[in-house]
Amino acid sequence: MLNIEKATDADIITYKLEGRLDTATAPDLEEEVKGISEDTKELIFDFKNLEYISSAGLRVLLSAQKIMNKQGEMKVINVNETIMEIFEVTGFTDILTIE
Amino acid sequence: MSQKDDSKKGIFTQFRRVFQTDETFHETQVQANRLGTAVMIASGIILAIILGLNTADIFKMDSSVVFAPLVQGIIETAVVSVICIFLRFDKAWLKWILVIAMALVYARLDGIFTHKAWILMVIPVIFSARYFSRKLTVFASSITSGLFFLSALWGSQNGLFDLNLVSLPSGTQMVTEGGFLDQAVFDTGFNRADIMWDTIIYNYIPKWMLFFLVTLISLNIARRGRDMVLRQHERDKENARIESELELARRIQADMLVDEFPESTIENPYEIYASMTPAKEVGGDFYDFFDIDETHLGLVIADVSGKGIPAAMFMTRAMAIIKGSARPGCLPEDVLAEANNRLCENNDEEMFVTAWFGILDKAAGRLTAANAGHEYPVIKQGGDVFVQLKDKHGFVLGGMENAKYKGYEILTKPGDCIFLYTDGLPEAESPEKEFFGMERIIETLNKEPGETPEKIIANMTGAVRSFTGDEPQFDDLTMLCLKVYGKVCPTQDSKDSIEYDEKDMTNENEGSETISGADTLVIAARNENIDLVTGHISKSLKGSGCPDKVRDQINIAADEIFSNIANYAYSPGEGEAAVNVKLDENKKQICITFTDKGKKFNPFEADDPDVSLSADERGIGGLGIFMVKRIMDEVKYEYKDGQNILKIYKSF
Repeated sequence: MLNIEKATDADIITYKLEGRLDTATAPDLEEEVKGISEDTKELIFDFKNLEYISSAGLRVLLSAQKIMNKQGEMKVINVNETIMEIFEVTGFTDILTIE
Repeated sequence: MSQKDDSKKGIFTQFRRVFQTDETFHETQVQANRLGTAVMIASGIILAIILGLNTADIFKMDSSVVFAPLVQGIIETAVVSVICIFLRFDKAWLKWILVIAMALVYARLDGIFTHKAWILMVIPVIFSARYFSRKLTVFASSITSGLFFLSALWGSQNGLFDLNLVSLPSGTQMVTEGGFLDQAVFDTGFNRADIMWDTIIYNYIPKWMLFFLVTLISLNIARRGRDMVLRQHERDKENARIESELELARRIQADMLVDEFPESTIENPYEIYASMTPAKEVGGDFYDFFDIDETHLGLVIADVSGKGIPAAMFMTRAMAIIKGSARPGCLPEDVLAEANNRLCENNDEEMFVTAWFGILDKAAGRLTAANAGHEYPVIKQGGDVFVQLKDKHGFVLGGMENAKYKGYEILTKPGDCIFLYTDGLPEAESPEKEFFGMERIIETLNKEPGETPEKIIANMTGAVRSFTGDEPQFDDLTMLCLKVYGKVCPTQDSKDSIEYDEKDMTNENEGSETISGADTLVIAARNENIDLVTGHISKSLKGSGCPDKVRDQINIAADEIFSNIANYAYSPGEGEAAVNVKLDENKKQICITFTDKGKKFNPFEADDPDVSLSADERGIGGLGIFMVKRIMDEVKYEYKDGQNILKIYKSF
C-alpha cells in the first residue's frame, strides 16, 4: 500500500508518499525515480503520511540521492519518528538532507 | 387433585375454596372485582343524589322513612369500595362481599321506590356472571330474590304506594288535604295486610319470573365464559410448549452448524468464517465445511425453499445428504448430482434447496466448485478487489432427478478470498422497501478487502443492519467466507515441506502452556505477499496495546526478513515461509519466528555494513538484517533439520 503523488513545479519535483515504503511497494517508487529527467534541479520527498520504510525503500532513496548528487539537490521532509530512527541506525542521516 | 382427595378433605376444603381461586381465573376475578367496585361507587353516588334531591324537596318522599336506608346504603357502598381498592381487588372472597353488598343496597332502594325500582334486582345476578362461576351466580340469584322479597314486604307498608293494587269498596269517597294520594287511601281504612298480599302476588311474582329468566341467561353466560377461559388457558399452555420446543429446535439447528472456526496453520493455510441468522426461530439456510480427506476441505452454502419449521426439517436432510455425498476423490459436480438424486427421493412436498459446493485442495491451493441454482459467489483473486463470479448454475437440488452440474476451478494465490451468501443478503430490505443489492455487497467487501473472513462477515453484517434499520428481517441471512493463505506441500515429499515443530516455536523462557496468541501463517515466499505477513502480525497484535511505533518497527523487521527469504532463500526457484507470531501472556512481548526450507543463511555471519560511507560509496547489501538487529530487542538464528529458523523479539 503506497500512494505516490507527484507534483512538478518547473525543475522541482515533489513526491508525496502515503502508506508504506516496503519490499512490495518500493519498486513502484523506483520506477518513478528512474524516470526523473536530467533537468530536475531539486527533488523533494514528503514523508508526512508515510508510516514506515524498509531497506528496499532506503535503496530507492539511495539511488535517487546518487542521481541528484550529479544534477542538483534532494531533500526529505516531514519525517516521522520511526523513520527517523531507521535513518539514524543506517547512517542515512549523513547521506540525506532531512528537513 | 383427584375426586377422592376432594371428598376426604370435605367441608373445610370446600369452604377454603371460597377464599382461593384457580390461577386460571385469577385475572378474570381481579377484573370482575374491579368492575364490581366501580358499580359500588356508582351506586353510592346515585344514592347520594337521591338523598340530595329528596332533601331539596324535588323528590317528595317521607324523609323519616327514606333517610335511614339511603345513608346506610351510602356507607355500605363506601366501605365495600374502600376494602376492594385497599386489597387491590385481589382477593377471592371479595366477590361474595360485592354480590351481597349490591343485593343489600338495591333491595333498600327497591324498598323505598317499590315497584318503580325493581329492575335493580337483576344487577347483582348479571354482575356475578362476570366471574364465570355458576356457583356464584346461583348464590347471587338466591340472595337477591330473598332480599327483594323482604324489600317488597317492607316497601308495601313504607315505600311508594302502588295505587294500581288498591281496590276500594264502590262508593268510597276520599278527601285529600293536600299531600300524597296514598295517605288518603290509608285514611279510608284500607287494609294494609291486603296491600302486602297484593304486592307479592301482582308485583313480586311476575317480576321474579322475569328475574328467573335473567338468572338462567346469566348462568349460561357464566358457563360459556368459564369454558372460554379454560380453553384459552389450554391454548396458552400449548403455545408455551410450542414456543419452548421451537427454542430447542433453534438451538439444535444452531448446534448443527459448525461454530468453531479453525485458525490457519501449516496444515490448514486458510481461514474460514461463517454466520447464519434465521428470520424465524429456525431457518432453511445452512453452511457447512468439513475435511473430506487430509488435503481436501469441503465447503457448502445452501438455502432451502421456504422458511420456518418445514424449511428447517428439509435443511437437516439436505445438510446430511450433501456431506454424505462428498467422498474423497470426488468432484463438486458429482457431489451435487448425487445429493440431488438423493434429495429427489421421497420428496412429495417438492421442497428444494439451492446450494454452492466447493472443494479446496489444500496441497494445490486449488478450489473446485459447482453451483446448484445458488447465488453467485464474490471472489477476490490475486489483487485487492472483490468481483462477482458468474459461475454456471445447475438446477436446484431436489428439483429434478438426474440433473447435471458443471464444475469449475480456481487456482488460488495467497490472500485470495471467496465470499458466499444466501439471497437474504441482497434481498434485505430498507424501510423504504429498497433491496440491499449486489452493488452494495461488492462495495462493502471492497472497503476492506484485505481483512480476515471474520472481519469481512462482521463488516457485511454491520452494513446490512444499518441498511435495514428497524425493518424486521424477512429472510434467513447466511454468509460464508474463505481466505487462502497458501498451500500445504504434500507430506510425502518432505524435502519441500516446512516441518513446523510446535515446540520449536515456543518461547523458551516460558513454559509452552503459558504462551498465548500462537498463530502461524504459511505462505509462498514472494515479495508481493509481504502485506499478508504484516497483516498477519497486525492481527495478532490487535488489542495488545502495542504502540503504533513499535508495530511499525516490527513490520519493518518482518519486511526485511521475509523479503530476504523471498529473494534469496529459494533463488532461483520458489518456496514457502512460515511466520509464527506469539505474544507472551502479559501481551508485553512479541516473538516472531520465520521458518524456511531454503539455503542456509545465518544473518550473524554477515558483516554489518559500513554505515558511515557516503551515498556514492554505499551499497545496500546487508542493510536489512542490520536494521532488524538494531530495531529489535533480540534476534536468534538456528539451522535445524534443513530449516532456517529466525526469531525476533520485541518488548513494548
